Amino acid sequence: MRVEVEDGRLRAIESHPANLATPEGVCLKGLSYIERVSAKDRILHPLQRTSAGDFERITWDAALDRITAELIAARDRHGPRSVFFYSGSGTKGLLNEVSTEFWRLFGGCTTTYGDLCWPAGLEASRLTLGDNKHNAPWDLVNARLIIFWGKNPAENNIHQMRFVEEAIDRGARVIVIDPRRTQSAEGAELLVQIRPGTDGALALGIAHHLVARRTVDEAFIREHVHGYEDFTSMVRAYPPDRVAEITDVPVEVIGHLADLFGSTAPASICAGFGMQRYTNSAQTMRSLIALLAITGNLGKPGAGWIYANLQSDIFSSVREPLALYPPDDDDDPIRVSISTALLGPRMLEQRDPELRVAWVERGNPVTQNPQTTKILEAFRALDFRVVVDQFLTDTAREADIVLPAKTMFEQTDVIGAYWHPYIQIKAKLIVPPGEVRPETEIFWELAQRLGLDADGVAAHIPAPSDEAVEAWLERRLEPFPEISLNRLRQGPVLAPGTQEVAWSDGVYPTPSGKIELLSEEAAERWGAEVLPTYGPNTERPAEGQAEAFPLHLLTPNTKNRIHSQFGNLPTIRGLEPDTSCEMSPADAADRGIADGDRVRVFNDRGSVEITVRFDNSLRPGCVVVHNGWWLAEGGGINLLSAARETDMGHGAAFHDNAVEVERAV
Amino acid sequence: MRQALFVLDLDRCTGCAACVVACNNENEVAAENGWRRIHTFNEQRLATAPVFHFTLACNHCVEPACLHNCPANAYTKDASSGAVLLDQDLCMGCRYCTWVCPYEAPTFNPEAGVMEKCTFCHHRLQEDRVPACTTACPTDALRFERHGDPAAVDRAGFPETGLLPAIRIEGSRRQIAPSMTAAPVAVNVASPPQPVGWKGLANEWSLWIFTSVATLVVAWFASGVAQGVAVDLPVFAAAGLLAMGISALHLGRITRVWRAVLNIRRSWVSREVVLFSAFFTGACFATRIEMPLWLLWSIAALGFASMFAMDMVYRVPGQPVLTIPHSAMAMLSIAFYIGILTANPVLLWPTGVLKLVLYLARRDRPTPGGSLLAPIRIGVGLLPALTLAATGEIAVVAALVGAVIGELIDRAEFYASLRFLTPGRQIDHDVVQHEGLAQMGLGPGA
Repeated sequence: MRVEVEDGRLRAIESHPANLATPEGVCLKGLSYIERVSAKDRILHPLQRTSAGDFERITWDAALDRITAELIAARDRHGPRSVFFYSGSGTKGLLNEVSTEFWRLFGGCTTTYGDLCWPAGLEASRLTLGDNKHNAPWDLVNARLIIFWGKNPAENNIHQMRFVEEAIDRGARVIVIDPRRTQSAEGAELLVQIRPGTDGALALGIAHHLVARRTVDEAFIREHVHGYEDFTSMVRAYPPDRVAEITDVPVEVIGHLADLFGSTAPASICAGFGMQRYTNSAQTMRSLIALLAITGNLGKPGAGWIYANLQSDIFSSVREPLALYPPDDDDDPIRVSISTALLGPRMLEQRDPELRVAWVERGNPVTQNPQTTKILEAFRALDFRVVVDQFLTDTAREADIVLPAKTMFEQTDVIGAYWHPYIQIKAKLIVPPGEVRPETEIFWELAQRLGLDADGVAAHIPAPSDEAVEAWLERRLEPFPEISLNRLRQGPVLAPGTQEVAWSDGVYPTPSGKIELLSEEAAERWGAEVLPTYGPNTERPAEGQAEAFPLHLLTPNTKNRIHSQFGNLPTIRGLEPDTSCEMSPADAADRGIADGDRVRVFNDRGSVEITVRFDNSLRPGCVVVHNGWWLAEGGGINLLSAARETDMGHGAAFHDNAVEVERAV
Repeated sequence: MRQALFVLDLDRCTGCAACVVACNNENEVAAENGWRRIHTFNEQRLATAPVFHFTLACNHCVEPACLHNCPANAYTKDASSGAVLLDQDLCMGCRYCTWVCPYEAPTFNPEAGVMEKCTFCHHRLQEDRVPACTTACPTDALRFERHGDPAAVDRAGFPETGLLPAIRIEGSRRQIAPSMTAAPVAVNVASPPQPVGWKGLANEWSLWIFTSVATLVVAWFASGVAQGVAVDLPVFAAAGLLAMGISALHLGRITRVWRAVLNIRRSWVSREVVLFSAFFTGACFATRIEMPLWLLWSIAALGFASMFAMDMVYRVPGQPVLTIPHSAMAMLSIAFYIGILTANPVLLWPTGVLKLVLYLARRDRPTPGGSLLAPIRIGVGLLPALTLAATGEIAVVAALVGAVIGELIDRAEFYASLRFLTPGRQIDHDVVQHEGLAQMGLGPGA
């Protein structure tokens, strides 16, 4: 985006015309940065928790001295691994690497592996295709069939909608598969309101038809697909009536979807992240990719698996999802031993040493990681906690010291993306307000106080100046002659080697060199079936039966926020004044609940009290609470989710979440 | 006059509100006072109706109701763009424009005491740039055209009162709901009508007092003329001045009250103020100066005319609740009062019975208290007066006191139930229609 600055203040934010993925306008979260940067509740000075439990302003010297003393005490008494380093994805950029370098110089620490967001899908894609990439965003206009499978771009990938609309204008058909009638479904001809967690079975049911009717792309399969014969035998076990029973998708709709797949090309499946937050979801995602593979919908314009495009991640030595996995051995000073999906329980389980100190940056795990109660318990069991953030989030409220964090306009950095393939600069445009200091400066100061190895510090942590930061970045960009800070200042740069049509070269970096419907690695690494079979997810309320927790709780994102960010801004609050539970009137009637009632949404892990809003088109048996509302705002929906991993990739199975709803008394 | 135009494509608009944020940023508007808003059709997602969004700010109408009706002449229409602009230095904060604009374009800024509204980004247009909201739209759903030809808009959910709004609405795909495999079929989805509370009265209490006293004052003077009795100046003047003073209390900028007379050419508010002031001044003089009967009746006629203007103030195109005829409308009330004061059955019978019929016919009694007040309104407010008409065996004073109580109740309910057309109300109305059609097998969702 392009930002207009006037008298040291942000004045306007517009899209950058050279980024072909976002030619029209910036999303409302991006626009709200004008408000965010100068928000009244932004943290501008170091804060210290008082004995009364609130926060008081302290000087940087006092804050850093105290942190230094606590870090040394923990390291001396329990070893450096008693310090827990947690980072989220709140701010992206190459400079984030500095944090890890600091902890290495400190002597080590304990940190997390896995990811809350999307690793089951990443792993499914890697196992099947060899990597995670897809066609350039603007190529979607060439599609003739677009399936939004568990994805709601109208809210969560707004810039994709421009290309969807153009595709529709050119004659594309749009199908949405989602238990909710999302905004994206409004442009679709059909909304398939599947039972949550059963998408894999639907894909196999469609594949069953395609195989039986021989409406597959045999030439493509011969050339590019590994394991097709085994796959065809496997899908025989998924006849329409069985699939209809599992998925609650009518037999004729399964047939209709198979007709569309068999007859309409090119086809793209745009898959959502929510669908891969179940305990069976990597298998689900593998079976979805299989549909594209057997119909020849890969490596062509308008066709493909639109899930994650990591083509702009040219900087990592190992790309995700492999970069998210714990190392095979434990010889690094940094102990990577806590699955972020299991954050609370694993923090409590650490031994030799136990955790004593936590440092949290770029994240709000108390609100966003599963099973909040356990996370609070784990944080409260520590001796000392530091949180770096822009606002007093639920996690910051647990801290002993809160340090102010920069926004993206306050330090120059370089970023990639995961949908479009551009490398871009976030140039420093304004001086950080108040006493805000970028994390790199905080670490540099701490390194001085801790007396860390001076050569190491000089090599890895930029000194507190714009010149040092830019020199650090230029060094980082050295391997890429096409990219320099000056070049990036002129506009976005396509990542070197970008394929606008992914897989158009037919090169699939899998063990067989082909698209692997059959993956030995799935079995070796994850103990899964070599084929993408369907198995039920863990928490699966059987509808219509008397159970303690008969409802599926879905906790999707909204257009108004990115997880737990932005909700505190008055503009955003004006668009969404309070948190609510969306419910089908049918389910509400069974429970004597009226529209607007206060209800308790609960299971055996926790409960929240919230207002009901009727959604007359929601699939009965599902209730929806958008994630991200802070506990401090009356939210905290992860009180109900389970600390539990996805079947592959060390993701978090947030949506395996059975609940009950009752009127609050 | 050149007329620019917003273009909104309902197929492309996802209701994301980037335009809202961009507007707040550009114009440095506080979020709670925003100039642009998203109005969602079928927010409750009835299975038979589509969901789509109108993002609306000011539509810079060719026939701007705000401009025509502003008593203070605070609005102008820019010749180079057609932008309807509000001069905050001229606005007295009466908020009448919020009644007549069906798009909720003017918003009241409580700190400044005046209205504010979308300017079409007039400052940007002068620099040859387009409005910020249209630049910000991530899906190209909201656009701007420098030269347009506004026409009536015929879209479910869009208020259309003949103002020629400068917005063209495109897109047709989303006029039907997607086919859904699991939407509930037979759930009663029609939300119960919201009960009418007293908030409307709380907002307009000063107008309640003014109109109630003004009708009495006019009726008192006219009855005096009819009976050849002069009104008592100190009481009459005190009542009139108090009523006018209290009416000024609803202004955001009370020192600009004099501006209320500036638009006599088009504004019923200005006409009401001018006519009532003229009547009141003349009536006061009439108590001290000998005047011929024709002149006295002329002054009374000014009073009647001011009451007519008062009723017309509340008659706003597109409003869902009738104010003419209404059992508490001013013209009817003065005739009723004069009937009592002159003990004249010829006036009392038709006015009293009409009031009773109109009152009983009305369904939306405010809650709480509406059902308790109804017997008082009828028993105390109307029955004594009708008894007077029928038998003459009741004191005029008793009938009058009862009538005043009854009229106060009725006029209070008038303000409580006052409703003007807004996008939200248009949508609520049309969604139900959509649903009804679909259930009968006629609608697009069937």
